[in-house]
Amino acid sequence: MTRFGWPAIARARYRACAASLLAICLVPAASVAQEPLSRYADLLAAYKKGDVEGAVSGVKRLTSSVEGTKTLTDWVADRRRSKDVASLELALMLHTEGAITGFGEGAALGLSGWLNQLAAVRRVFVALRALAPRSPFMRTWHLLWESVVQGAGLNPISMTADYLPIALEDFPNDAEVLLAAGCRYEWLWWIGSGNPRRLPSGSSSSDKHLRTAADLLRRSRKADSTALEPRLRLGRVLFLLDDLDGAESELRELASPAVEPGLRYLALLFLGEGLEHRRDTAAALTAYRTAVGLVDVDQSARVAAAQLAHREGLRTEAAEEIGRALSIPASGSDPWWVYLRGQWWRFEERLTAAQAMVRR
Amino acid sequence: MIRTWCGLSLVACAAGATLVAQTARFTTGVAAVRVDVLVTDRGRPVTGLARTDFELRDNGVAQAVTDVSSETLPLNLLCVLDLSGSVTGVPLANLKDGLRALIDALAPADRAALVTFSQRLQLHTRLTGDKALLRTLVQGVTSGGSTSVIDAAFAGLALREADEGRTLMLLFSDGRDTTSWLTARTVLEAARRTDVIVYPVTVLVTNVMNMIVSRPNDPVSVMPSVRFLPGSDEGLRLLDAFADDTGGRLFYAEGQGTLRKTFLDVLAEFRQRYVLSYTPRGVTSDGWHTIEVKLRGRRGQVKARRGYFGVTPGGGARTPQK
Repeated sequence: MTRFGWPAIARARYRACAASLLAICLVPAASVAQEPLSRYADLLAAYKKGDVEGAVSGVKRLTSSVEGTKTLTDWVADRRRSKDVASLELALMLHTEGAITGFGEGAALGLSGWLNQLAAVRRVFVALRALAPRSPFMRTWHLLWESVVQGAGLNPISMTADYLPIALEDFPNDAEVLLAAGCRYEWLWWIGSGNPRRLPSGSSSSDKHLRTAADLLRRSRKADSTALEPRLRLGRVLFLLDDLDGAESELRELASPAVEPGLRYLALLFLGEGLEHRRDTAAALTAYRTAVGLVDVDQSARVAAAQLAHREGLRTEAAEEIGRALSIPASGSDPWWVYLRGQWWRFEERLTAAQAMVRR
Repeated sequence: MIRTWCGLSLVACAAGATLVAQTARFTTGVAAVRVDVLVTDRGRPVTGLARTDFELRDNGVAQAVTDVSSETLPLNLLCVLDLSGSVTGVPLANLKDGLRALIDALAPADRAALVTFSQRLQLHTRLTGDKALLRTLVQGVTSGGSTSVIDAAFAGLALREADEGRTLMLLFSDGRDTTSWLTARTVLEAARRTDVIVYPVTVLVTNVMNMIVSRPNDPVSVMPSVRFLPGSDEGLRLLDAFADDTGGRLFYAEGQGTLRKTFLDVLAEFRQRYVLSYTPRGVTSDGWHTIEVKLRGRRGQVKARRGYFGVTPGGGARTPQK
């Protein structure tokens, strides 16, 4: 199984993703030269050969003009009539990469430039779905897009089309699509409740998102009984729904030494919070202490252990643990931070897979 | 009976003696509780008050204030600073400028510690009186990343050292938590178990991204409208609650350019606080103690922590009775 951590490409190319969104809004659309109609085919060819930067740069300029937008619209209509699925897939990936770059290049691209890319994605997507809604490429693209949306922060959600309901409609029994959807609803609950670690408190309006997440994650687990992430997330969602027994039954096995350290670390953290909720302080502390050291950046486990020790009056131990939490390595990510970004951690592999599909 | 108190600084007081370093354990009958209070009248600190000017109740039972001091104890300044991605460029320069001014304003006996956070917590130095070191460390900080303000606030509390000094936590953040493990509730409970006084400082910014682009006629549905960034407002609520529960005050800087003045205002206000001491009478030792402090026959508002925990050795966690 892929290690639970930040995608390397994401670090290199899209590191500024959510943070730089702050600057997007107030930058006017750049005045750029219009591209000739024939240029679009050249851009697709360049992208197919692997020149992502050049192709994306060109397509941004193209879609920033009225003429360029009309060019794209006409081209998409023509390819749809010709049932040219391969070209539309290539175009969808090209504009998707442009839009993804837009998430992280807010100031440079400008809001209108970014929205142009999102509109182009939508235009090509609609045409492609009409021709091949359930193709392997479409599945991969849905997963890629959802990982971007979840990783980029929620603001883009309010600005972009929502493809997830379509993904669920077209791939209703796909374990990974269901997992991505479960992540989304877990996330929506977070936004609704204002706190990703709100403790169980009975029903609330935002709990409907949790119940939906639990349903989707159960379906995901059923569709692929070997996958561990749906169980991890289901365990946490059940805890948040106050189903402590259900949560423990999902998490116990994941907390075993045989499991990949990142997932095991999270399972132990989540088990610990459940045990804290049961007021089993000793067992909770054991869970947190077991999590410590499993991964390079174990800040959350150390903070959790320190807080519990502090609550128990063990001030010296709490101070020592916090001291260690304050001096963890500067590189790497705590799996909890990764977990909070939903399916973003799958971005790299999905981008690579989608690129390979259109370049074959 | 030997007992341990948690939640407020405790000082062993001999009759008529000055304050001395507290210890974790002491014998009932010589225990004293120290309460740090701010008195203001129409927003301005009131100075020159004596112990007879205060009325103090511990769990509703009137207590005799045995000592009032001001500026007699050294200051332990815990700087807990948000260095997430929102504090870059000019804001970071302004923050450093404010911190340098703050360091310069410390008295010779004062000490300061430096903790920074994005999603990651980092201790640059524990409490030190070495101003040159502090200035160097401040100069070297960089920013970037998400925000773990709740975890950082707890780290500051846990680092509080057991000595006779008064501990001020200057907690600078935009308050929007995105990556903490701890909840605000647990950290507030932790705050009630210490005597740290928290002065959060935040900068009000306009949310330029709070706009929705809707395309209702689009064949593809538009995603549900949600607010900007997946951060938690709990962070902002924490800042306010932190100040309220610990007897501090939340300062809003009007902009990053005013941080220097804001930091110095915090320090000046803290120096005009009073430290009231009393030996609890007529109350049980354990559990949550609610403290009420009022002025006797004078106009003004008193701000003090809401209470403290009394814990027996080996005792488990207790829920605040609030």
